[in-house]
Amino acid sequence: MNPKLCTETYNHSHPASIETYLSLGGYDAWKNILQNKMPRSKIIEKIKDSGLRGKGGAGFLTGLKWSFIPLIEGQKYLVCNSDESEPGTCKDRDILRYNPHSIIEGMLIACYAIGASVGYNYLRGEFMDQQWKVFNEALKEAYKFKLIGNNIISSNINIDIYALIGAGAYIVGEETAMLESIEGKRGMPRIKPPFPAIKGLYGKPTIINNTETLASIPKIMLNEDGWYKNLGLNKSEGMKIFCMSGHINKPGNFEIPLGTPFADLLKSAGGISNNRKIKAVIPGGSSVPVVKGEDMMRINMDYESIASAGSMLGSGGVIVMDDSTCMVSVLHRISRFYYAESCGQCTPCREGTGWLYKILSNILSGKASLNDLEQLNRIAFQIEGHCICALGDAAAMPVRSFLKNFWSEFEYYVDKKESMVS
Amino acid sequence: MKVFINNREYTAESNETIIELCDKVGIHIPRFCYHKHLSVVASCRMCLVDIEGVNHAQPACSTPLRENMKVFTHSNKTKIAQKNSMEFLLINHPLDCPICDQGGECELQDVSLEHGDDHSTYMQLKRVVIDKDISPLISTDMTRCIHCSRCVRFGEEISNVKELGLLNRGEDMKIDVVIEGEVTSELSGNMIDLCPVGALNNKPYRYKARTWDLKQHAGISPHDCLGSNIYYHTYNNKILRAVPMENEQINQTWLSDRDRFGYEGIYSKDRAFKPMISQDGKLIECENQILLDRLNHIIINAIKNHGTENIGCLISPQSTSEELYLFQKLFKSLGIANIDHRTNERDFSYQDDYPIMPSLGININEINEFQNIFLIGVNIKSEFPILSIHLNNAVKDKTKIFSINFDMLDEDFPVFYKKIVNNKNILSLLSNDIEEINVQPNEKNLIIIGPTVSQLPNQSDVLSTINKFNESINARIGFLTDFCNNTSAWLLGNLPHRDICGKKSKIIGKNAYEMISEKLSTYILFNLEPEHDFWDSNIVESALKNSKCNIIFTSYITPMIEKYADMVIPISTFAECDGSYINIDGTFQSFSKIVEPKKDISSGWSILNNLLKYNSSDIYDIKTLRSEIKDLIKDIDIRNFKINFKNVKSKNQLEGNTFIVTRRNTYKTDSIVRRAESLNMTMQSKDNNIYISNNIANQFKDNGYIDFENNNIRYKTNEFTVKTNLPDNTIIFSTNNLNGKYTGPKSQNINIKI
Repeated sequence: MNPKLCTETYNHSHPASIETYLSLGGYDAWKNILQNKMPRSKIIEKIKDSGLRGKGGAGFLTGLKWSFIPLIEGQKYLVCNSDESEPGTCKDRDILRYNPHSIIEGMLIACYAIGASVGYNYLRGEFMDQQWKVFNEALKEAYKFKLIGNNIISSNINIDIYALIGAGAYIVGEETAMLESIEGKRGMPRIKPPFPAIKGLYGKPTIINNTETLASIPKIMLNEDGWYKNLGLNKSEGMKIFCMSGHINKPGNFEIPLGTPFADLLKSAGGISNNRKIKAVIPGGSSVPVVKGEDMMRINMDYESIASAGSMLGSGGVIVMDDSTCMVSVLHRISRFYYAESCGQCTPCREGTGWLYKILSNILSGKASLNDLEQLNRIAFQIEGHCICALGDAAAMPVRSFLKNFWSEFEYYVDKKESMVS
Repeated sequence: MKVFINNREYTAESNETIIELCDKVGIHIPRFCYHKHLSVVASCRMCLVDIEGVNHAQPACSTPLRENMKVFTHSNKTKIAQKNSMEFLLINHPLDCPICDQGGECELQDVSLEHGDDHSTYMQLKRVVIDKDISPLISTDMTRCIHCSRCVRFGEEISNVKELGLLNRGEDMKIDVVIEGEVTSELSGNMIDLCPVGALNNKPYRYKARTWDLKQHAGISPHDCLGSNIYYHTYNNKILRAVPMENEQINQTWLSDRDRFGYEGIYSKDRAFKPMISQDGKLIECENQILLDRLNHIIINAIKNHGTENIGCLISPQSTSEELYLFQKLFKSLGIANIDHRTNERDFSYQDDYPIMPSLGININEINEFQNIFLIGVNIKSEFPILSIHLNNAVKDKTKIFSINFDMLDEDFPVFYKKIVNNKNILSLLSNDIEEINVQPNEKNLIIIGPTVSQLPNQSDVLSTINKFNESINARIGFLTDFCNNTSAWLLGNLPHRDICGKKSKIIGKNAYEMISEKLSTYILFNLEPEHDFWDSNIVESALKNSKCNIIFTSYITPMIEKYADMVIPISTFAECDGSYINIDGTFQSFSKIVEPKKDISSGWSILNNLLKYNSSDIYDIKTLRSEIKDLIKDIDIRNFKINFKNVKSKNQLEGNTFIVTRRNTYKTDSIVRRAESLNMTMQSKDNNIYISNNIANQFKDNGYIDFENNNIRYKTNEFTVKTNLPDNTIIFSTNNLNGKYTGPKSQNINIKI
């Protein structure tokens, strides 16, 4: 049985209540820190040593990120990125509604470690009905228990946390676009440098972490050094929630050690539905390159193995496709998403995503030629790496990988004006 | 810091970006969104360059140089990256260059010629954007927009008027207004220049000419005392448009709409084309040859018959320095002392204590060095739009602005303290009540006295109160004047009490108000419109009616001129003659003829020069004339002006219960802009409201009237617009109302009855 970090409360009858959380040792880490007046550097050191990596997609070392915050006095901010919009990803959604206190505790520890007195949790607009309410309720409870606010547990530490709700733009999940949105501006990514750790929200040093990252922190702090690191299998460090979706029998969130073979994960998710054959897997949310099913079955779920298969672990949104899937239609659908979600700031992404989508639409309606496939590849190449943020890359990578791995299927579609699989 | 661009070593400053250094040393990098006066957004991706050790090409506009960085602006990687960006920019851009006004000066055309491909692989439908009518000055073809957002950033960062914005996202993103016709900033025309493509174009210039057929002439703005530098573009001897000439000291790369579109006024149907002489009460055209003889004859006769003290010579401060110099020289040499240019004023008691000429006391671009700036009697946004840009920068540098004005108009920069006053309570405000502001004398303080102050019947009292107020804050005192060349008018002695360079006159003549109210026998008006350019046009009318002879030098025929002139001498406008202006920071700027005037129109200075020949041996050509004026200004340092109005006191009684003030409408300030067609279609020009303070409005009865007692005018109460923030007993007329029903003084205290 794997230990549980973010998903610990999921099976309890009132998973989101503070009583449940406290009964499982919740807020002990936070109280410990305050009572022992733990030095900030020690927390950052511990997180660094744990090997905890950002769970939002980029996989950057969390402790290292925190250490970039300047040591000078003055206002600093922590932002929790709960704008979980990557297609195929649904882990933060569940943490927010089933284990909100782990996020609050994680945010409190992070605020303490970087010296921020204010933390914002930015939720995607679609979370308005449930997660938003649950999280706010949890915040109220935490205030009631005096675990947050002014002079927390007589420690002279003041930290406030606010929940904010977005308006449904995918791009606001990009950290600097999120800062713009919090400031009340158009959600458009900023130019880097300066990085948010130096000049972030309202021009102040700011750390932005993913929800799952922050929710993992209390348990790491509570346990001895090296505990988290050793949870991983096969030379990997730590845990990760994978969101299993697609043609499988038991879709859902699975918190497993990094390094677990994909075959095992697929088994936990009930295997491929209708006893069909696995055809392809997008292992880390729709923006990462697609991997052929047979390749996927050979690798482990960790950063390095997935990279060796030519893809990325990303946000952990695993989309499994069986052999009845038309790859042209899938790519068309993915491209439409990035076309609709481009913020419009940079030329290659604004114009290129639309162009990709229009060509793919032409293929589907039988109006394309083989030249168009080359064209798709070329446009994707032209977008990649030439924009302010990674949305351009996110639009380009699926196109290039789909074409690379399933070229014959595209060729067939262009030629025969119908799908190879139907 | 050592850097290498194309394998050549350069020295860069810290924080300098690649594009800044390349621009400095003359290495071309294509760009659309980058502009040196706007923030960097790095969104067009046209300036991508190859940097050694970096995987992808990086934007030159946002990438700071690092020690030993190696940049290649012409490498294969750079070329491919730029070509790719170009391709993306062009896929949705219409190929309508042949019918686009931007054609020939289009940055997209230029860059695509150099960096683009010669064919398109885009076979899908192009994006179409539906246009809105955003302004009478700017035409839009938003389908051509490449989303560089320069126009949006101009509004956000330079003019501080956020009118154009980005709507929607991705491919549907568009630059738009929320409400049609909503681009109303006094600086809106700059967005035309900033737009690198033909999306925002000059509406009055639309389809008039192709850019490559235009000739460019340098000019100086005749519409305000800042003296913005302008390029006029002509075709077939006609000005078709104006664009800014870069001058970092004054207007940087910007131009106010008044300066950009004001030239239209010179093509008005009101222009005086032929010399005219009155015969049997009607003006009849006469030949140019006999004009000067006749003119000289009339003046000599008038002196002989009525005496020099019975002749009034009035000149507009919009005239060129050359005209102002010769005007006073001519009439003073004939022994006439009644010379003045202050036709908009009523109270002259201050005149002996006035500095040699009005000035800002500092250079225009030094304004952001001040910590506290007091604006008294001026609305910078509408009266001096270019200064608004400087003040906006000053506020960003933490300058505090204190506005004390007679009008409730807003500014486009944040104002720290704002008070709307009338001509009585400004005295008490500055003497006592302003202590709350907490300005220290050891801070850098500046007081700017605006044109409205000069129109007050108690101007001298206001000046002496300002003087007294200044004792506590030790500020520099500067002026902003109502015309472009008041500086020259003062300096060159177009005054009843002073000769050139502030020398005291031997005989003190009558001031402008005395001249018209005392009913002289002969009036000589130079470049003045009786209807608009006087403090009280009623008195002017009766003066002109009762005089024996009125000699009018003018560019325009107005109804009063037609009715009362005995002689009309058509003179050229600024565009048709050589001339000079001295701007408010004391800069002497000359300009040459831009277009040839019509056959019978001569430049003012040459007529005055020829008249001078009859009576004096001094004959000038433009060169000697100019160098003589230049010599006069050479030794004048505006920073050394000691301004002391301690002992001035107004002699006028303020008896009325209500303060009336006329707004200096931004597009009605001088005879040329008043006739600029496009500017007259703007929102500012259409303001016909009469604003009234709350306490008067509270006394209104249904279907009631207000009677202006000494003017015999009656208004229905529903003709007024109530403004709650006006001080008690105040009525503000917009200039449009002048010569409607209300023809009284521009600013006065009168009794009203409700």
